[in-house]
Amino acid sequence: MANKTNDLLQGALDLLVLRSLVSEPRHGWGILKRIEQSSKEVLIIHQGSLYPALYRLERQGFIKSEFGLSENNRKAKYYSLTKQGQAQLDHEVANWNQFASAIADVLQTA
Amino acid sequence: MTTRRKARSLAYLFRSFLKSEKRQDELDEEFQFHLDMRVRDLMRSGLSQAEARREAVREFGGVQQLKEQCRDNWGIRLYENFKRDLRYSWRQILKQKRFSVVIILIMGISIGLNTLMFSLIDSVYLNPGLYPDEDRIVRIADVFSGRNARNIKSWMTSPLYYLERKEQSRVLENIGVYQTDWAIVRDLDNRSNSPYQQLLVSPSLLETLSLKPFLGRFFTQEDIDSGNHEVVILGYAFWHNRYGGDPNVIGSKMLIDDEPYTIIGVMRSDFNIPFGFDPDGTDPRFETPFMTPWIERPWHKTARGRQHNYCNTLGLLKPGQTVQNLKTELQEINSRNSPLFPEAYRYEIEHAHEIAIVPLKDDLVRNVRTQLSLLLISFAFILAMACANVSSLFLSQNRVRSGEFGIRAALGASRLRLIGQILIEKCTYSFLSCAVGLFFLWIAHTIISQTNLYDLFLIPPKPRWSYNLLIYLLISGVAIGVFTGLLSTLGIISKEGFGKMMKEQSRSSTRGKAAKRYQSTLLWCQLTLSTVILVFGGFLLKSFVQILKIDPGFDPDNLYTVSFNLADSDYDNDAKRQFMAELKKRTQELSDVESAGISFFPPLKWGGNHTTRMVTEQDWIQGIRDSSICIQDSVDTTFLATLDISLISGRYFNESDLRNNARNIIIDRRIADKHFNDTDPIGKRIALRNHPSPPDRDNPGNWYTVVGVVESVVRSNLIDPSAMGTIYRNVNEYIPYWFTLVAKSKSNPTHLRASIRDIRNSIDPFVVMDKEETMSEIMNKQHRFNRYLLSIVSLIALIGLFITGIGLYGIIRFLITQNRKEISIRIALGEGIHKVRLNVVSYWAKISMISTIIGASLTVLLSIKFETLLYKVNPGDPFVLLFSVFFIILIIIGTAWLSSTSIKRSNLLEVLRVE
Repeated sequence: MANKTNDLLQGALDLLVLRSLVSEPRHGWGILKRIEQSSKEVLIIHQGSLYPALYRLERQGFIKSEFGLSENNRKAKYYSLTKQGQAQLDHEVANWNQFASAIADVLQTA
Repeated sequence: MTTRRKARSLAYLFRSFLKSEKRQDELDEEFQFHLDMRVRDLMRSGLSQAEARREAVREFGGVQQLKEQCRDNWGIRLYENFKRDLRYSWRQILKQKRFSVVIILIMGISIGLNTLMFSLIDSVYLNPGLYPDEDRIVRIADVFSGRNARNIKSWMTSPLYYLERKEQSRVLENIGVYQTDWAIVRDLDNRSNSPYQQLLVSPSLLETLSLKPFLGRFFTQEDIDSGNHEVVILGYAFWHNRYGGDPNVIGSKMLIDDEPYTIIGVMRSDFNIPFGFDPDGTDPRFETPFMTPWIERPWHKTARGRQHNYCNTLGLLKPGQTVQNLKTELQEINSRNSPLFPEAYRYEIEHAHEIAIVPLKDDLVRNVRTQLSLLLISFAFILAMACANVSSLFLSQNRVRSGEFGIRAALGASRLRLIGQILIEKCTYSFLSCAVGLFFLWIAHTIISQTNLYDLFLIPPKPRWSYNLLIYLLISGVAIGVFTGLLSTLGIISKEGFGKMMKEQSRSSTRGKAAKRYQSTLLWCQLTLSTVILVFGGFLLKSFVQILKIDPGFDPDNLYTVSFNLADSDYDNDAKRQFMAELKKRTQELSDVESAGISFFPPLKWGGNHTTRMVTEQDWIQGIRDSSICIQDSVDTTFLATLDISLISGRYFNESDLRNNARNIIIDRRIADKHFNDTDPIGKRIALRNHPSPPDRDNPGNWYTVVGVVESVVRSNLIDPSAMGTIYRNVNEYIPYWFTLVAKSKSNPTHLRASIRDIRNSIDPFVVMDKEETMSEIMNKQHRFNRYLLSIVSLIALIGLFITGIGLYGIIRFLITQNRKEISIRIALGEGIHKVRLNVVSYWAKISMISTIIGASLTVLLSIKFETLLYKVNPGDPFVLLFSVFFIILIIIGTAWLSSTSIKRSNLLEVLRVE
């Protein structure tokens, strides 16, 4: 399974990161855990891929960051979704659904 | 990408740039938090803290690489790398102090020289800053060619050409005319007069050049139209010397040619009207004592006014107009007007009349183009040598550090990254060199501003500090850094890859073939260029020696010369004759004087020529009316003998000639050959005319009889003697308003100075003595130009040799260090140290021989191009070639021997262990 997750396309990782931030701001570790939990530990994100993706999304203006206190009272960097990020997420979700539906159609037909 | 997104991205980049240090800390903190959280998780699953941390780090992957990836998203990676490389470069420079000093010195000198060249060209050509509209100012001249043409060398025009153009041109915004003329000015003591070469200027010229006075005003067209043209504007130096800089001088009178002129203004100290270099005309160093208006005369609008080219004209193009437009228009104007003056028109056709128009900026450097090119090429050579040298030293440095580069490559540094790092390092050297170059430039500017460079440039360069200069210095510094840096990386960062480089480094110290090839090429270039400069310096040196050997046609040794001004009003012709005779008699009576003579215009004394027109009786009879120009002088009975000017036939003047004011004449060999080539000139007759309007030639009183023929002498210019012949008139028949006494001394001629002053005081202390100098001093002045040129090229050759010497020394020392193992083995096997040293020297002797031969051949080609700067030296002169080549080989061998002294007997085992 881990091998599969390592092959995650960049676009899919961005989508997952953006989705994990919809409910509340999270730090990097929290985002990782949230994706693992939501996917019932099917999708394991390589830690080395997460941070470059976060910085990329921040540069693109889809997320923003600020320091806050974590659950164990440690200083941590929290990421939250911006308006542009929300719009991008909606767009990416629509695209993904269209893509998944197309794949499903092909598989059923075949 | 939309504009908003672009703006956001730029703002992010800017924030990252400003807060790069803070962001770096935050990134460290964020990673640490992540790792700590993972450690906590792993410890919960039962691992010890140490195991958990190890596992967390392993899972996380390469922290540094990850940080690099994150930083990439900040968009300031280049900046970060740059900062790091800069710090690293600085450490490298400090680590290798001696190497760095040599590099910075070589680069600094070459950058400084390069900028100095730019500064000189900027101040004499690109931006001389003489006149506000200098880009639109053009010199207009009428040039004729063919036999007996009137102005082959000088760029002049005639009054009528000027007037036609002034009235009819639509392309020109303005056009002005100017000329020089001798004038006699009554001195302030009201007893004596002094001759001055004044400037006649049209008001339109002052407008064309936008000149402003220092005091008072300039004359205007209204002054002239209202008949108020007896006005004068004083030169700044003349105003100070004559009136002590008194500002109340405005409005007072000055007697010029016995006419009262009103002083209306004073010129600024930097007043400058450009005269071209004209070997037989106005001295370009001419300093205007005063100027009066150029007046249009009735004869200017006749055929004569069209035929006599003696005016300088400068025009101001209308904005947007070109030289070509003006040329076309002036040709049209000329073709309309020429047929109205048939004789002048015929002359134009016969002598291929051509209207020459040249932008003022080009005109200013017209006669120093060759010198500028030579300087430019010399400086370019120094620059090329410095680049080759520095690249070679950098290459050696890079070879020493190839292990370091290999390790960095193995750790993942890309080729581009390594090249970038090397370039930043080299550019750091460049910036430091720029500081040295700036200092060098400051010294050069100081020297130039305190040196009279009139002999090299028509407009003496006044190098200025400007932003342009500093920008040029920085750009040239960076360009040299990048260029030498890239050259030095060629042998290191090759396509074979770093792995090979690493292997090569670990296996042996033998250099890679590519590096060896590049280094050899650079060395060869360097040696060849040094040879070229040195050999050309040798040519100039020999040329200078040849100039010192020029035979002026007379014996200049022990000759003392002094000029006297005689007041026209106080001295009538008889009084002048008496004064001259008494002065000469008493001078001859001095015990130290061998002989003495008097001349109006002695050779070399006045830097120009006093000319007249002549026609022989034979030509006149045959209907030839076209007179030719010759130089005229008036001399007494002993002048020619005092100068030891050989008599070819006939006789010198005698007392009878003087007593009777006889209309006898002596001609020189040139006139004899040109006009009497098959016949004996003695007894033949010649007519002279000094004014554009010739006297009646049928009047026998106009004719002079030739009584002697003497050898030709150099009149005004030793190196470029005039082809014009000279006629000598009897001093009592043609009495000058000033004259020169020439005395031949038995010993040091300067001792005569006091005695002759005493004689003058005893005859008439109010007679002005001027230009007291020996003939040797006069001749030395003529050599100044060549001395400057020789000094500059010698200096450049010395700098070149210095650079080559240092570079060569560094490289040979480096090669010896590189081959230490091989050398140690050979010495251990019994080969003597001296033999090893001899091998090194013989290797370099061979290299130097080949490169010097190539260099010498190149110099021969270069010298053909610059032959005009050489005087009686063949570009293939074997003596100079052999001597220069021998000298440079000696230097190279000497350097090689000095470097080889670093070869010492060392412990082989120790060397091998180190290897």
